[in-house]
Amino acid sequence: MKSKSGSLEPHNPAEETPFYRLRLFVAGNEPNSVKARAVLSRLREKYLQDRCEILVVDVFENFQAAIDYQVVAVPALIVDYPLPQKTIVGSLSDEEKLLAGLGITRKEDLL
Amino acid sequence: MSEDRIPYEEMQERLDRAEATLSALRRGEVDLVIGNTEPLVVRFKTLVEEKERLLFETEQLAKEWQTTFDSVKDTIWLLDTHQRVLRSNKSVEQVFHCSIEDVLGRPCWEIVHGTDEPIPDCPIMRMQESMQRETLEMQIDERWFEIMVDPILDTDNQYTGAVHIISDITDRKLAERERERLAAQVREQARELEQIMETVPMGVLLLDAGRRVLQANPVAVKDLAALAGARMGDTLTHLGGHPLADLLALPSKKGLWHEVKASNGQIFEIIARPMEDGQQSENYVLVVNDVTQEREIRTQLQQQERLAAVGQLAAGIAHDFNNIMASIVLYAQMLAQSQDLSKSHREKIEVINQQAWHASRLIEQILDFSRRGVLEPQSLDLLPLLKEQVKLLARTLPEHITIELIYAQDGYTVFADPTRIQQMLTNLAVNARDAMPDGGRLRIELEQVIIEQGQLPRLPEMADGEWVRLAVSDTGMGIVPDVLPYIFEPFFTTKGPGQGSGLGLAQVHGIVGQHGGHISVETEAGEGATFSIYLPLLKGISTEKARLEASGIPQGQGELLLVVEDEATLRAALAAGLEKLNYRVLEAANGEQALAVMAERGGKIALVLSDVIMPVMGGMALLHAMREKGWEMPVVLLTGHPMGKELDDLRQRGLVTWLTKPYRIENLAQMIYDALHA
Repeated sequence: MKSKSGSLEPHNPAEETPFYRLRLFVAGNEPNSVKARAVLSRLREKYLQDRCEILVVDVFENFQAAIDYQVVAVPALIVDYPLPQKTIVGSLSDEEKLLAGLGITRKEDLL
Repeated sequence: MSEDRIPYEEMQERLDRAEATLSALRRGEVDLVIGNTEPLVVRFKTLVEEKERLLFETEQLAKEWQTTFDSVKDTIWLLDTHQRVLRSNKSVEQVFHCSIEDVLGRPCWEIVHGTDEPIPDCPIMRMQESMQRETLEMQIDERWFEIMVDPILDTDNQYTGAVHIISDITDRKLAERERERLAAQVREQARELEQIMETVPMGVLLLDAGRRVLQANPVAVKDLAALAGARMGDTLTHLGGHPLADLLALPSKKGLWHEVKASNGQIFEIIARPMEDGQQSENYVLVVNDVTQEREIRTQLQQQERLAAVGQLAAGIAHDFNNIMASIVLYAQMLAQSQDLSKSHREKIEVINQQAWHASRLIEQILDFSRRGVLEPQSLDLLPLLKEQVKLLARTLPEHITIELIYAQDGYTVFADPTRIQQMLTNLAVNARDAMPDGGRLRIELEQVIIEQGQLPRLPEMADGEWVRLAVSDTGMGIVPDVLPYIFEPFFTTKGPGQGSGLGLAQVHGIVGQHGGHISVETEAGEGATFSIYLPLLKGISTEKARLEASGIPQGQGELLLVVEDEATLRAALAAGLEKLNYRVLEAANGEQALAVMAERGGKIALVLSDVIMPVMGGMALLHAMREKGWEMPVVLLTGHPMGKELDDLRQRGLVTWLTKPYRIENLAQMIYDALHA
């Protein structure tokens, strides 16, 4: 098994200082994936605005990426940055857990 | 592939990640799973959708249930084991004018009955016993409700609560009441109709097309038996000999009713009508009226009216004749006063006098018939009078006619003139005698007759109440039907010329009428005749015997007395008076007869009551003869004048006493009593 932890990111954007770099693996328009995308977009709106870079990967289109990132279940959100890297599996419905994972203080309901 | 051992942190991280994945899987938040070595995709879409669909459906179902629950008009509660309301539908707002929240948690009795504890007839209490549906009907705000409770049992059959349904049954209740009211009305009408049918004094019967008797009221049942020997359910062909078909049609001749005679002599009037029930019907209603009695009554009434008319006529004539007779008698008497009449003239005048007297007697009878006679009524016990009369008749009627007097121990006191009653009995007895030339039995009967109110009287115009019936029957030739309507008419007689005046029964009829009584006759040719006379009973007046007892007059103890008297009427009266005083009485017409009677009895007689002056052997001679024979019983002499010295010594020894005429019965009674007890 190849350990990819801490390995290079394939797409390295120009800006080196985004506060958050998030990678959401989804499976087309499956319900949990749709939900996860919606939650994430509201998260950006409420908390992150432009202090983030969000990459959505549809595993139906890019299967290899999932394997590379060792994603077992979709949807899954991988927090690349800030470190340490974290993975949140599921439709992101548990708001507490999501915000805790991102180290954000809760303002109001996302859902 | 690295075979190094996986560092602890990484292992931890992998574990965390696996756990998070599993957790997400459990929550159904995963759309697909990617295999570790192969790009295997497991889609979770259906699972997720199913869960959401179930959730949706559950919500939908719950909503539907709530809507359904709320749209039910009945108030439905779910109660816990303490009868507290766990759930309620909206209906509670209409019925109890409060919100669902107001009733939740409160015990049902508080809400429904406003009490602090369950009511005595609580259906839930009953349900906990029976473990099945129990109900209760009650009123809330003038409306009717039915409470139904069903137990809720868990899988172990344990009672966990109840469903409590309150339904408004006011409309049902009102409809029920209306139905009951109508049913009662129908029943009442049917009962009334039945009563009418049972009360109506005519026979009413219903025939079907086959002429079968479908229905008959009680009178019709009797009439059917008389007319055709038929019963309910029988098929009729004839009634009283008439074909039924004739009776169902209207009679061709007079009137609307058919007249039918039954074999037993009863006369019926019958009318038939087809039943009209909207369509052509073959059923007939027959009305049968028994007119037998009515006909008889009508005939009797007609007869009485005719008699009254004749009576009025006769009275007018009699009155004129009386004046004429008075003149004739007066002038005849004036003539008789003349000194210079020859013997033959005197004899002729005597004939005129006799005939005038005879005519006066006839006039008296006519006046009696027309009820113009002068009455001297008094309270009169008929029994002693009849006893006397019977004795008298026994002497005067031919030997081949036997007489009997029949009576019960009853009161026979009437308000009547004794001489008229005697006259009446004499007339009837004479008729009876003449009806039995070859001998027979004359029977005189006394009885009390009570006619209840509403009861058909024995005779028309006879009022209800208590009557004394005095009947005189003979066993003679009877009265033929042709003659019967005229027997009470004056001057009507079947006896030969010179044998009867035709006034006897007319006089009887008048006397009875004048006493407020009624008379009837039953007879059949060859079977004798019975005349029944009804006189109103005088109530509250004791019989003479009772009066005597009450008056303190000393009574006998049934001692045997001998009455010696040549005058038959007086002797009979004396005997009757003594019998009333409770003595037994033997009679003799003179001293000789008296001695014979005493000899027959071996001298065993308690006392002798004797007249002094008699033919053959007088009272004094009898007394001496008795003493000679050694009969020492006391003797009471009845004399017209005080007795001389000759008896003083006997009298002083208490052996003989006397009573001067006229004497009072009280004195006689006292004297006999004293003599017997000296």
